[in-house]
Amino acid sequence: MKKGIFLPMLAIILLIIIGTLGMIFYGDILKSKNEVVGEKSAEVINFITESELNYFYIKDSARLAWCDSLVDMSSGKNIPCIYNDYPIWDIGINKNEECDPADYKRRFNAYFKDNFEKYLSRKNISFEYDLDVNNKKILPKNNVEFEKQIGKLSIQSRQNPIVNIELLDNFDDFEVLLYCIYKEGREECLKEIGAKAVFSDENAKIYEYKSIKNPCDLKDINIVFGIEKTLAS
Amino acid sequence: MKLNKKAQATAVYGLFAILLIFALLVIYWYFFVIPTANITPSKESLVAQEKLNYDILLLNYLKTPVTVNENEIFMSDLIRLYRKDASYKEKLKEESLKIFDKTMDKKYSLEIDGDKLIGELEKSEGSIISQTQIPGNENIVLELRI
Repeated sequence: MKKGIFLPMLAIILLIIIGTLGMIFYGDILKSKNEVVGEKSAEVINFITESELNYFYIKDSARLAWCDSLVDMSSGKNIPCIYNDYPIWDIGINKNEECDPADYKRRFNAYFKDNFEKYLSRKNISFEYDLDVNNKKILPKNNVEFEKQIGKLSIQSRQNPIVNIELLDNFDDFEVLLYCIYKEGREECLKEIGAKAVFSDENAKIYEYKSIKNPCDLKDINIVFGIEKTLAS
Repeated sequence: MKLNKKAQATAVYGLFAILLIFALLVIYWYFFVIPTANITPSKESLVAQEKLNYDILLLNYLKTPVTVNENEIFMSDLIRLYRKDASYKEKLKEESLKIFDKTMDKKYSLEIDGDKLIGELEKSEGSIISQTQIPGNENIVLELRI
Protein backbone atom coordinates (compact mmCIF):
# COMPACT_ATOMS: atom_id res chain seq x y z
CA MET A 1 0.00 0.00 0.00
CA LYS A 2 1.27 3.44 -0.88
CA LYS A 3 2.12 5.58 2.10
CA GLY A 4 0.27 8.60 0.68
CA ILE A 5 -3.10 6.90 0.80
CA PHE A 6 -3.00 6.65 4.59
CA LEU A 7 -4.27 10.20 5.28
CA PRO A 8 -7.32 10.12 2.96
CA MET A 9 -8.26 6.65 4.26
CA LEU A 10 -8.04 7.87 7.83
CA ALA A 11 -10.17 10.87 6.87
CA ILE A 12 -12.79 8.68 5.21
CA ILE A 13 -12.97 6.27 8.15
CA LEU A 14 -13.24 9.18 10.60
CA LEU A 15 -15.91 10.79 8.48
CA ILE A 16 -17.93 7.59 8.40
CA ILE A 17 -17.63 7.14 12.17
CA ILE A 18 -18.41 10.79 12.98
CA GLY A 19 -21.24 10.85 10.44
CA THR A 20 -22.87 7.70 11.83
CA LEU A 21 -22.55 8.84 15.44
CA GLY A 22 -23.82 12.28 14.50
CA MET A 23 -26.81 10.80 12.73
CA ILE A 24 -27.74 8.60 15.69
CA PHE A 25 -27.16 11.33 18.26
CA TYR A 26 -28.86 14.14 16.39
CA GLY A 27 -31.71 11.93 15.25
CA ASP A 28 -32.49 11.14 18.89
CA ILE A 29 -32.30 14.80 19.88
CA LEU A 30 -34.68 15.79 17.10
CA LYS A 31 -37.08 13.03 17.98
CA SER A 32 -37.06 13.74 21.70
CA LYS A 33 -37.34 17.50 21.17
CA ASN A 34 -40.37 16.98 19.00
CA GLU A 35 -42.06 14.42 21.21
CA VAL A 36 -41.23 15.69 24.68
CA VAL A 37 -41.70 19.39 24.16
CA GLY A 38 -44.58 19.04 21.74
CA GLU A 39 -46.67 15.93 21.71
CA LYS A 40 -45.78 14.46 25.07
CA SER A 41 -46.16 17.61 27.10
CA ALA A 42 -49.51 18.20 25.41
CA GLU A 43 -50.60 14.70 26.36
CA VAL A 44 -49.38 15.16 29.94
CA ILE A 45 -51.31 18.43 30.27
CA ASN A 46 -54.42 16.80 28.82
CA PHE A 47 -54.06 13.87 31.21
CA ILE A 48 -53.84 16.21 34.22
CA THR A 49 -57.07 18.00 33.32
CA GLU A 50 -58.79 14.72 32.45
CA SER A 51 -57.88 13.50 35.93
CA GLU A 52 -59.22 16.67 37.54
CA LEU A 53 -62.50 16.22 35.68
CA ASN A 54 -62.59 12.59 36.84
CA TYR A 55 -62.06 13.66 40.48
CA PHE A 56 -64.94 16.06 40.06
CA TYR A 57 -67.01 13.21 38.61
CA ILE A 58 -66.33 11.20 41.80
CA LYS A 59 -67.39 14.09 44.04
CA ASP A 60 -70.47 14.85 41.97
CA SER A 61 -71.43 11.16 41.92
CA ALA A 62 -71.12 11.07 45.70
CA ARG A 63 -73.54 14.00 46.06
CA LEU A 64 -75.97 12.45 43.64
CA ALA A 65 -75.71 9.02 45.29
CA TRP A 66 -76.43 10.68 48.64
CA CYS A 67 -79.59 12.28 47.24
CA ASP A 68 -80.68 9.00 45.63
CA SER A 69 -80.15 7.23 48.95
CA LEU A 70 -82.38 9.71 50.75
CA VAL A 71 -85.14 8.87 48.28
CA ASP A 72 -84.49 5.13 48.73
CA MET A 73 -84.67 5.57 52.51
CA SER A 74 -88.00 7.36 52.33
CA SER A 75 -89.52 4.72 50.05
CA GLY A 76 -88.04 1.78 51.95
CA LYS A 77 -86.39 0.38 48.84
CA ASN A 78 -85.41 -3.30 49.07
CA ILE A 79 -86.68 -3.74 52.61
CA PRO A 80 -89.16 -6.54 53.31
CA CYS A 81 -91.47 -4.45 55.52
CA ILE A 82 -93.73 -2.55 53.17
CA TYR A 83 -97.42 -2.19 53.89
CA ASN A 84 -99.68 -0.40 51.39
CA ASP A 85 -96.54 1.13 49.82
CA TYR A 86 -95.42 2.51 53.17
CA PRO A 87 -92.25 1.35 54.92
CA ILE A 88 -93.22 -0.20 58.23
CA TRP A 89 -90.78 0.27 61.04
CA ASP A 90 -90.68 -2.89 63.02
CA ILE A 91 -90.05 -2.15 66.65
CA GLY A 92 -91.65 -5.29 68.08
CA ILE A 93 -89.94 -7.76 70.38
CA ASN A 94 -89.17 -10.29 67.62
CA LYS A 95 -88.34 -7.53 65.24
CA ASN A 96 -86.99 -7.95 61.77
CA GLU A 97 -83.54 -6.32 61.82
CA GLU A 98 -83.99 -5.15 58.25
CA CYS A 99 -86.89 -3.00 59.34
CA ASP A 100 -85.52 -1.68 62.60
CA PRO A 101 -85.57 2.13 62.43
CA ALA A 102 -82.53 2.26 64.70
CA ASP A 103 -80.64 0.50 61.92
CA TYR A 104 -81.17 3.38 59.51
CA LYS A 105 -77.47 4.26 59.23
CA ARG A 106 -76.54 0.77 58.09
CA ARG A 107 -79.38 0.83 55.57
CA PHE A 108 -78.36 4.25 54.33
CA ASN A 109 -74.81 2.96 53.87
CA ALA A 110 -76.08 0.07 51.80
CA TYR A 111 -78.19 2.36 49.60
CA PHE A 112 -75.31 4.75 49.19
CA LYS A 113 -72.89 1.99 48.24
CA ASP A 114 -75.24 0.74 45.50
CA ASN A 115 -75.95 4.17 44.11
CA PHE A 116 -72.35 5.42 44.24
CA GLU A 117 -71.00 2.31 42.56
CA LYS A 118 -73.62 2.57 39.84
CA TYR A 119 -72.20 5.98 38.84
CA LEU A 120 -68.53 5.10 39.28
CA SER A 121 -68.82 1.92 37.22
CA ARG A 122 -69.87 3.96 34.20
CA LYS A 123 -66.35 5.39 34.06
CA ASN A 124 -64.59 2.31 35.42
CA ILE A 125 -63.45 4.20 38.49
CA SER A 126 -62.37 2.15 41.45
CA PHE A 127 -62.73 3.97 44.77
CA GLU A 128 -62.61 2.51 48.26
CA TYR A 129 -64.05 4.68 50.97
CA ASP A 130 -65.68 4.90 54.37
CA LEU A 131 -68.95 6.74 54.66
CA ASP A 132 -69.16 8.95 57.74
CA VAL A 133 -72.91 9.46 57.89
CA ASN A 134 -72.85 11.69 60.98
CA ASN A 135 -70.35 14.17 59.57
CA LYS A 136 -71.58 13.78 56.00
CA LYS A 137 -68.15 12.92 54.68
CA ILE A 138 -66.80 10.31 52.35
CA LEU A 139 -63.33 9.34 53.47
CA PRO A 140 -61.12 7.58 50.93
CA LYS A 141 -59.33 4.46 52.16
CA ASN A 142 -56.61 4.83 49.54
CA ASN A 143 -55.56 7.38 46.99
CA VAL A 144 -57.56 7.34 43.80
CA GLU A 145 -55.19 6.82 40.91
CA PHE A 146 -55.47 7.40 37.23
CA GLU A 147 -52.75 6.16 34.92
CA LYS A 148 -51.88 6.75 31.30
CA GLN A 149 -49.21 5.33 29.06
CA ILE A 150 -47.67 7.89 26.73
CA GLY A 151 -45.17 6.04 24.56
CA LYS A 152 -42.61 4.61 26.95
CA LEU A 153 -43.64 7.05 29.62
CA SER A 154 -46.16 6.00 32.26
CA ILE A 155 -47.76 8.87 34.14
CA GLN A 156 -49.97 8.74 37.20
CA SER A 157 -52.30 11.14 38.87
CA ARG A 158 -53.04 10.53 42.54
CA GLN A 159 -55.52 12.26 44.82
CA ASN A 160 -57.25 11.71 48.11
CA PRO A 161 -60.69 13.11 47.34
CA ILE A 162 -62.44 13.68 50.66
CA VAL A 163 -66.02 14.51 49.80
CA ASN A 164 -68.00 16.82 52.03
CA ILE A 165 -71.70 16.49 51.50
CA GLU A 166 -73.10 19.68 52.90
CA LEU A 167 -76.69 18.91 52.26
CA LEU A 168 -79.39 18.07 54.71
CA ASP A 169 -79.84 17.74 58.43
CA ASN A 170 -82.20 14.86 57.92
CA PHE A 171 -80.22 12.53 60.14
CA ASP A 172 -80.76 14.87 63.04
CA ASP A 173 -84.44 14.60 62.15
CA PHE A 174 -84.17 10.83 62.28
CA GLU A 175 -82.56 10.96 65.70
CA VAL A 176 -85.47 13.05 67.03
CA LEU A 177 -87.93 10.67 65.46
CA LEU A 178 -86.24 7.64 66.98
CA TYR A 179 -86.27 9.27 70.39
CA CYS A 180 -90.05 9.52 70.19
CA ILE A 181 -90.60 6.06 68.76
CA TYR A 182 -88.80 4.33 71.59
CA LYS A 183 -90.19 6.62 74.25
CA GLU A 184 -93.11 5.80 76.46
CA GLY A 185 -96.06 7.94 75.44
CA ARG A 186 -94.95 7.67 71.83
CA GLU A 187 -98.13 9.14 70.40
CA GLU A 188 -97.82 12.36 72.42
CA CYS A 189 -94.17 12.72 71.56
CA LEU A 190 -94.79 12.19 67.83
CA LYS A 191 -97.51 14.81 67.97
CA GLU A 192 -95.13 17.22 69.67
CA ILE A 193 -92.46 16.91 67.01
CA GLY A 194 -95.06 17.35 64.28
CA ALA A 195 -95.53 13.80 62.99
CA LYS A 196 -99.07 13.41 61.66
CA ALA A 197 -101.02 10.19 61.29
CA VAL A 198 -102.05 10.03 57.61
CA PHE A 199 -103.43 6.51 57.33
CA SER A 200 -104.69 3.90 59.68
CA ASP A 201 -106.29 0.48 59.44
CA GLU A 202 -106.49 -2.61 61.57
CA ASN A 203 -102.86 -3.55 60.89
CA ALA A 204 -100.83 -0.39 60.94
CA LYS A 205 -100.78 3.29 61.56
CA ILE A 206 -98.87 5.46 59.10
CA TYR A 207 -97.28 8.76 60.06
CA GLU A 208 -95.89 11.54 57.96
CA TYR A 209 -93.13 13.25 59.83
CA LYS A 210 -91.84 16.04 57.66
CA SER A 211 -90.93 16.90 54.17
CA ILE A 212 -87.34 17.64 53.24
CA LYS A 213 -86.01 19.10 50.04
CA ASN A 214 -83.86 16.89 47.85
CA PRO A 215 -81.04 19.27 46.95
CA CYS A 216 -80.23 17.42 43.75
CA ASP A 217 -83.61 17.61 42.06
CA LEU A 218 -85.39 20.09 44.37
CA LYS A 219 -88.27 17.68 44.90
CA ASP A 220 -89.79 17.04 48.31
CA ILE A 221 -88.92 13.85 50.10
CA ASN A 222 -91.52 12.86 52.65
CA ILE A 223 -90.36 11.00 55.70
CA VAL A 224 -93.23 8.57 56.03
CA PHE A 225 -93.22 5.53 58.22
CA GLY A 226 -95.67 3.04 59.63
CA ILE A 227 -95.92 1.27 62.93
CA GLU A 228 -97.87 -1.90 63.57
CA LYS A 229 -101.20 -1.10 65.11
CA THR A 230 -100.55 -3.09 68.27
CA LEU A 231 -97.49 -0.96 68.94
CA ALA A 232 -98.74 2.34 67.65
CA SER A 233 -100.22 3.79 70.76
CA MET B 1 9.03 25.56 -5.94
CA LYS B 2 9.02 22.20 -7.57
CA LEU B 3 7.81 19.21 -5.58
CA ASN B 4 8.98 15.73 -6.10
CA LYS B 5 6.49 13.02 -7.10
CA LYS B 6 6.04 11.73 -3.56
CA ALA B 7 5.28 15.19 -2.22
CA GLN B 8 2.86 15.83 -5.09
CA ALA B 9 0.92 12.64 -4.27
CA THR B 10 0.74 13.59 -0.59
CA ALA B 11 -0.55 17.05 -1.53
CA VAL B 12 -3.24 15.59 -3.81
CA TYR B 13 -4.37 13.10 -1.17
CA GLY B 14 -4.36 15.85 1.47
CA LEU B 15 -6.49 18.07 -0.74
CA PHE B 16 -8.85 15.15 -1.33
CA ALA B 17 -9.15 14.61 2.43
CA ILE B 18 -9.92 18.29 3.03
CA LEU B 19 -12.60 18.20 0.31
CA LEU B 20 -14.13 15.13 1.93
CA ILE B 21 -14.28 16.85 5.31
CA PHE B 22 -15.88 19.86 3.69
CA ALA B 23 -18.41 17.60 1.92
CA LEU B 24 -19.26 15.94 5.21
CA LEU B 25 -19.83 19.30 6.88
CA VAL B 26 -22.21 20.28 4.09
CA ILE B 27 -24.10 16.97 4.41
CA TYR B 28 -24.19 17.34 8.17
CA TRP B 29 -25.52 20.90 7.86
CA TYR B 30 -28.12 19.89 5.31
CA PHE B 31 -29.51 16.88 7.17
CA PHE B 32 -29.11 17.83 10.82
CA VAL B 33 -29.03 21.59 11.23
CA ILE B 34 -31.55 22.86 8.66
CA PRO B 35 -34.40 20.51 9.77
CA THR B 36 -34.26 21.84 13.35
CA ALA B 37 -35.15 25.29 12.05
CA ASN B 38 -38.54 23.95 10.86
CA ILE B 39 -39.49 22.30 14.13
CA THR B 40 -42.08 24.15 16.17
CA PRO B 41 -42.36 21.98 19.23
CA SER B 42 -43.98 24.74 21.24
CA LYS B 43 -47.06 24.83 18.99
CA GLU B 44 -48.70 21.72 20.42
CA SER B 45 -47.82 22.80 23.94
CA LEU B 46 -49.56 26.11 23.35
CA VAL B 47 -52.71 24.37 22.09
CA ALA B 48 -52.58 22.03 25.09
CA GLN B 49 -52.09 25.00 27.41
CA GLU B 50 -55.12 26.71 25.90
CA LYS B 51 -57.17 23.50 26.21
CA LEU B 52 -56.07 23.25 29.83
CA ASN B 53 -57.48 26.71 30.49
CA TYR B 54 -60.83 25.78 28.95
CA ASP B 55 -60.96 22.44 30.83
CA ILE B 56 -60.43 24.33 34.09
CA LEU B 57 -63.08 26.85 33.07
CA LEU B 58 -65.52 23.98 32.40
CA LEU B 59 -64.67 22.42 35.76
CA ASN B 60 -65.23 25.68 37.62
CA TYR B 61 -68.46 26.21 35.70
CA LEU B 62 -69.80 22.89 36.99
CA LYS B 63 -68.81 23.75 40.57
CA THR B 64 -70.38 27.21 40.55
CA PRO B 65 -73.17 27.62 43.11
CA VAL B 66 -76.45 28.93 41.77
CA THR B 67 -79.76 29.80 43.39
CA VAL B 68 -82.78 28.05 41.90
CA ASN B 69 -86.22 28.47 43.47
CA GLU B 70 -84.53 29.82 46.62
CA ASN B 71 -82.35 26.72 46.91
CA GLU B 72 -78.61 26.88 46.51
CA ILE B 73 -77.41 24.13 44.20
CA PHE B 74 -74.49 23.73 41.78
CA MET B 75 -74.44 24.20 38.03
CA SER B 76 -74.01 20.43 37.64
CA ASP B 77 -77.30 19.98 39.54
CA LEU B 78 -79.00 22.58 37.35
CA ILE B 79 -77.81 20.73 34.22
CA ARG B 80 -79.32 17.52 35.60
CA LEU B 81 -82.55 19.37 36.39
CA TYR B 82 -82.63 20.65 32.81
CA ARG B 83 -82.14 17.14 31.42
CA LYS B 84 -85.14 15.96 33.47
CA ASP B 85 -87.30 19.02 32.98
CA ALA B 86 -86.88 21.33 29.96
CA SER B 87 -88.53 24.21 31.84
CA TYR B 88 -85.14 24.82 33.50
CA LYS B 89 -83.55 25.63 30.13
CA GLU B 90 -83.93 29.42 30.40
CA LYS B 91 -82.49 29.46 33.91
CA LEU B 92 -79.59 27.30 32.81
CA LYS B 93 -78.91 29.53 29.78
CA GLU B 94 -79.05 32.66 31.91
CA GLU B 95 -76.65 31.32 34.54
CA SER B 96 -74.30 29.82 31.94
CA LEU B 97 -74.11 33.10 30.03
CA LYS B 98 -73.27 34.94 33.26
CA ILE B 99 -70.26 32.69 33.73
CA PHE B 100 -68.99 32.34 30.16
CA ASP B 101 -69.54 35.91 29.00
CA LYS B 102 -67.31 37.12 31.81
CA THR B 103 -64.46 34.79 30.95
CA MET B 104 -64.54 34.11 27.20
CA ASP B 105 -62.88 36.48 24.77
CA LYS B 106 -63.35 34.22 21.73
CA LYS B 107 -66.36 32.77 19.95
CA TYR B 108 -67.58 29.64 21.70
CA SER B 109 -70.50 27.32 22.15
CA LEU B 110 -71.64 25.03 24.95
CA GLU B 111 -73.42 21.82 24.02
CA ILE B 112 -75.22 19.47 26.38
CA ASP B 113 -75.74 15.95 25.06
CA GLY B 114 -75.23 17.31 21.55
CA ASP B 115 -77.74 20.16 21.84
CA LYS B 116 -76.34 23.67 21.66
CA LEU B 117 -77.27 25.62 24.78
CA ILE B 118 -75.39 28.90 24.34
CA GLY B 119 -72.74 30.50 22.13
CA GLU B 120 -72.15 31.65 18.58
CA LEU B 121 -70.26 28.71 17.13
CA GLU B 122 -72.21 26.18 15.15
CA LYS B 123 -71.93 22.45 15.77
CA SER B 124 -68.77 20.99 14.27
CA GLU B 125 -67.07 24.39 14.35
CA GLY B 126 -64.27 25.20 16.76
CA SER B 127 -60.66 24.17 16.94
CA ILE B 128 -60.50 23.35 20.64
CA ILE B 129 -63.00 21.08 22.30
CA SER B 130 -63.16 20.68 26.03
CA GLN B 131 -65.40 17.78 26.97
CA THR B 132 -66.55 16.15 30.18
CA GLN B 133 -69.31 14.00 31.63
CA ILE B 134 -71.41 14.40 34.72
CA PRO B 135 -73.47 11.66 36.36
CA GLY B 136 -77.22 11.53 35.92
CA ASN B 137 -79.85 8.93 35.02
CA GLU B 138 -77.57 8.51 32.03
CA ASN B 139 -74.21 10.28 31.99
CA ILE B 140 -74.59 13.79 30.58
CA VAL B 141 -71.96 14.94 28.08
CA LEU B 142 -70.86 18.59 28.03
CA GLU B 143 -68.80 20.06 25.21
CA LEU B 144 -67.26 23.49 25.20
CA ARG B 145 -66.15 24.47 21.68
CA ILE B 146 -63.83 27.39 21.08
